[in-house]
Amino acid sequence: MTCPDDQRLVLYADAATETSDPQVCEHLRSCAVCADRVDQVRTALTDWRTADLCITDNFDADYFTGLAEDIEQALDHIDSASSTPVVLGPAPWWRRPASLAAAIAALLLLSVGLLRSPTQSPLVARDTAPQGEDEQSLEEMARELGRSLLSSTSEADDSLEDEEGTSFFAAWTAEPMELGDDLPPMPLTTTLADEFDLLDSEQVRSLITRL
Amino acid sequence: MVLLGHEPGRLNLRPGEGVSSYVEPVDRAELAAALHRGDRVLFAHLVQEHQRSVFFLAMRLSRGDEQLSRDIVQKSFLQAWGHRQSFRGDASFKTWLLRIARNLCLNELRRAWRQREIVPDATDGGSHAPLGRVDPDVLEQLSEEQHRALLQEAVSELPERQRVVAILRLYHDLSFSEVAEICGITANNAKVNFHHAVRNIRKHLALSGVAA
Repeated sequence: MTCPDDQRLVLYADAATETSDPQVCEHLRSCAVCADRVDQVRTALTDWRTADLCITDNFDADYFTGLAEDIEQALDHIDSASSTPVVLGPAPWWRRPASLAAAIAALLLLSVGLLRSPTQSPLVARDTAPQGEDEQSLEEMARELGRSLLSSTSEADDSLEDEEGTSFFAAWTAEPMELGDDLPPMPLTTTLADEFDLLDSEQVRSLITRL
Repeated sequence: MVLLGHEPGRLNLRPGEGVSSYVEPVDRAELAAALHRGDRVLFAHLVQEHQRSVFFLAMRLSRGDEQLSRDIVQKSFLQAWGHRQSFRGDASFKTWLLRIARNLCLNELRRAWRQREIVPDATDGGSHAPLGRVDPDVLEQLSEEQHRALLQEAVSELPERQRVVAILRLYHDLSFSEVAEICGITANNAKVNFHHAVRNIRKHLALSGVAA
């Protein structure tokens, strides 16, 4: 066997606790140079291990008992902090069904408005250009979805008033002065869903334009 | 060794026995399961068993910065507890913990290096200048403290990976596969790094006038 490379010799010299390399072991019997090299490395490694980089004797059992207690205290602090119940404040608007439904309805109406042809101004072409079937169907879909969302949340809104003391105007009473002569008669008590359903196409378009 | 009848938060002790007699589950899967359950008593035992290794690894990597090493020990165990669900028992708890400690320590040292807060420790007298060729008779009279300082200097001059591999191999009595797990490298890569570390330490000591 030719002389092994330096890495193999170093690993052999350090392999006190691991499986030795039998080929290197046999080679060392016949090669004084490699045997000397291994002895040097082994001596150096033993020397380095003896002269530790830090003086471990300076830290006794009491030192580590105190360190362990510090760790335990820190863990207790973390555990107690994580077990503290979280005080919930008023629900944000996106957690309230009525607000969420209104936002979805507004988004639907906005999307209908955005789907109009960009070359066709909604203010100018409203009366002249024929309304496409797609636009009509989208408008109907938006109207239907908005109505269903608002009607489904009316009951939930009523219950919120009792639970959180929060007042919502899902049901309202029309003031007499708001009732114009040219408007269709309105019931004195109505809901947003009913009102949404009563809008004619012109009013829906106007709402889309405003949005 | 099987941990029979053990429940989280309760010691598995016989009458008259202290915490030191606590029976730790040897099986890694069992250890992982107990940690996942949040067994604080078991974790306290692991703290007592492994805090020395973490502390001395940090001390050796930081060239004897005791306060930093204490912080590393605490942070390592807190991180281990916080991320105990990620311990699957593939590796031993010791190598998993030492890997956390190694990462924390190197991050702290890099941060300190960037802030130029590294202060020469007291053991080397603040001097890193080579000693030059020294008479062998004088070398024999080198105190253990001086020898340690020279060796510390030689190790601190090593590239980061060689330094970590050398410290883990020389002073923590770990196999190359364990060193590899801690450093996130292969066992062969750990061997190569150890060989380079040995060569560089010998070169550094030779330049300092110490026959190594």
